[in-house]
Amino acid sequence: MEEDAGKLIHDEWEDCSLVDYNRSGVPLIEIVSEPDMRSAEEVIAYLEKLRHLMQYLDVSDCKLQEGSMRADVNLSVRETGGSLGTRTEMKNLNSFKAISRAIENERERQIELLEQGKAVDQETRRWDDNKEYSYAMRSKEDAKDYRYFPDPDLPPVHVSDTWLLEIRKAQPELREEKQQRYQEEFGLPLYDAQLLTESRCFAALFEETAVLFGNAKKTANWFLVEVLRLMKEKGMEAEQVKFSPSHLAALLDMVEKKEVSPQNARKIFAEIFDRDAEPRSYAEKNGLMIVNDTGLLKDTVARIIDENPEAFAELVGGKDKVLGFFVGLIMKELKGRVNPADVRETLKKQIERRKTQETQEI
Amino acid sequence: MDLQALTALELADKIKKRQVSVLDGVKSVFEQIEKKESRVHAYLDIYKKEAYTRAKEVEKGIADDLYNSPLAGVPIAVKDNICVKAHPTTCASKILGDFIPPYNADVIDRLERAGMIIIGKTNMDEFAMGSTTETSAYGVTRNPHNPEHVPGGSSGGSCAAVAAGEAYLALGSDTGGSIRQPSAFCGVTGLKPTYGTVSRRGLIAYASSLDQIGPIGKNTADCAALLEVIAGHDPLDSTSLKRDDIQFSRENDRGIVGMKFGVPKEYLSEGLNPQTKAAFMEALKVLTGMGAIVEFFSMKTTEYMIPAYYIIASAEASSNLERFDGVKYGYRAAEYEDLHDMYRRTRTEGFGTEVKRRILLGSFVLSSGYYDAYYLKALKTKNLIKQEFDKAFADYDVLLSPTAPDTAPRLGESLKDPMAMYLGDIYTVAVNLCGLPAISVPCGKDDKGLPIGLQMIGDCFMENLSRQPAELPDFPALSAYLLRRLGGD
Repeated sequence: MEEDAGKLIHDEWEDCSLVDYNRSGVPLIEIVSEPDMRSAEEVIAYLEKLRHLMQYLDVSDCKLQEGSMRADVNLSVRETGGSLGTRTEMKNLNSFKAISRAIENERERQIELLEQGKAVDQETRRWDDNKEYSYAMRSKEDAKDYRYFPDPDLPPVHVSDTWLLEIRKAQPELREEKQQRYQEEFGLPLYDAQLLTESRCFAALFEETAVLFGNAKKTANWFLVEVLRLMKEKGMEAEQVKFSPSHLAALLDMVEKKEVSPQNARKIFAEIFDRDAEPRSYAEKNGLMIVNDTGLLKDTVARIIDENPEAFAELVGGKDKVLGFFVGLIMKELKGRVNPADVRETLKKQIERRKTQETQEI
Repeated sequence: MDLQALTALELADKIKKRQVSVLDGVKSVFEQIEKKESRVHAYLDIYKKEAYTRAKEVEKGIADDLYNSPLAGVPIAVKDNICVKAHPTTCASKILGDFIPPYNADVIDRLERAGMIIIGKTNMDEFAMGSTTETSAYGVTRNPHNPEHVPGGSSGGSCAAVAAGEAYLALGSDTGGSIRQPSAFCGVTGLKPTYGTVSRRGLIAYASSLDQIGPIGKNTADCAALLEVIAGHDPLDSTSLKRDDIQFSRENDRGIVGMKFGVPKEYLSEGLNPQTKAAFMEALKVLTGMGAIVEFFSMKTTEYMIPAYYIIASAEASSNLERFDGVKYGYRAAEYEDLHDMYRRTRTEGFGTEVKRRILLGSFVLSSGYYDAYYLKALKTKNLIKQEFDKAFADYDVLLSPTAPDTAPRLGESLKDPMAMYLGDIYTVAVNLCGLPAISVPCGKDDKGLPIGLQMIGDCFMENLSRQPAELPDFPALSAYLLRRLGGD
């Protein structure tokens, strides 16, 4: 553990590197792995796992771009079965993609060197993701003598088994545990559980809504379709999504009770997503509730029929495709405040009546 | 009434009884400053106007029963390596010449809460490195007993201020004897508390594992009262202790009869001034005469104390002083070519010779290739020294020694031979290495009229032995007792 000294920013200006001191003094933990990984995919999988762990433990938001998670990659190549070769250390890796690219690039560079009969120098290299190229920063020869010694201002911390146990007990639910629970408790498929737990706050939002609404499966569907769609449209991260779970739960409840149509529900949700609108009052104010006014529905149906005599004749004549056209028109006229099923029902009644009328007239 | 004859506690008592005003006490100090400061030069900065304003405030605070400290209204001097908000804190170094801390050290907050009045900041060896107050970048301080001699160091300004009556009490810091040795040279009483008893937050670090702030006063009772004001746990210093035995001024009735004193016989070998030795032996005789048991014992690690101390202290200093780079605060060289040249020139111009010497020594012993041979070995030596002290405290209640092997040297004498100056710390450094409490009390004078100090070393937390009142004596009370018997009080 150490204090963050700051972050160097290299590639944004041509001729200089700048220092961002915003993170100075922030606690920093360095985790060093063994030389266990054999490919860029394994490295990314390892880092993803670490990132989720750190996020779920609320240790860090782990944003590579902002420097709250950083990775230096030590890499060496060898012939199959041979012993580990000379390694280089790669710095300035600001995204998982950059890490992946840097690993591929460095692997190729080292293999090329060895195939040319040259040696790999043990050195620190800096990755330039814009140019997809790395160059040597410093070699072992000019390594600094940091003169490290135990800091007397930091007394030793004894980590007892009891303390460890307490921490384990107080530890929040981790991602894998959450996924397991979503599958068992909510009956969600693994894929959905993975998507929902991608970020801790996304999972929290989902869970709170699901508990309030009472149907986890329907809540999950809403999150995986509507919430993700709006996030993608607006280019937002899960941490930026800030609506109240109670508002979405109320909306889902209104859909369930057929108080709003699915189309209008999406409109209302856009308002919840953007400015945390209270769904019922918003729907009422903007006339988005389904009205159970049979008189209004009847009148509107009659009017639309009168306005489109030819189309209606076709419908009566048995052209069922035209039914959809009428339902659409009526829904539009009533701004979605009615149930499509009710519209269909009323229309059918009207058709029946006209048919009877026609028969009588003949 | 001659207020100068009063101790800090007596002054505070008269203030409390309204026989004397807070202003009177402050005035008496400024009268002495007027009379003596041009010769002594104990202070680097004097808060005259502020002290008078504060006196009125404290006067009212006492009337309103705001303070529960027995030292409310007492004027105090503060060593210039302790941060006082919005006032220069220089460590007597050019490199911090224009540094004004934006915060108070924990001890300063405590002084203010106790209703004490800060008179100013006192001179010292640069960054507390030195034993004479001659390494100050702002002129030497002279010994009030003889202006041709140094006051000792590094808290020389604080001890001279108390000795000259320019303050009733003072705060010093002690890394290897920096409170006790100048106290001995100036004929005052100075206590280095158990490591961790007083917060180091706001004390500009020299050697973090050894530094400790402590009280300097006219006698042990004053020191005990001041220690009670400044001691206490500080969550912002991770080496600060949670002690529940900080009622240092509490009386302890246990007599001296049967108490066991140990004297390391190696401390009395070559290098000890015969007059100092004679005064010390006289003190032992007094103790024996009172019924105490005094024994000599062997401290085999004695010859390793100075090397171990200077390696550890310099190593820590080299790290602590890295922050003075001309970037964040303090002095920066006026002309330079690039960043590294700026560092080099800033530090070359900003630090004095003794500080540079210790930074170089510290950097050397921590360098790869030398770390094991020097630094690590010094740490192991420190453990051996601690073991010997532990063994000694199994046999003795208190250990005794002269505070320093000689009385105050003449001005200019010590800087010619730094090695001799380091050897002068022989009796004091082990106390810091082991985190022990120790006090220096006056025990006589040499033929030039220069004071001699007696050092009493207690086991950890034994400043006050109230935790085990039946078995062990109260440290300050014991000292006060000794002091009365030895005629220094």
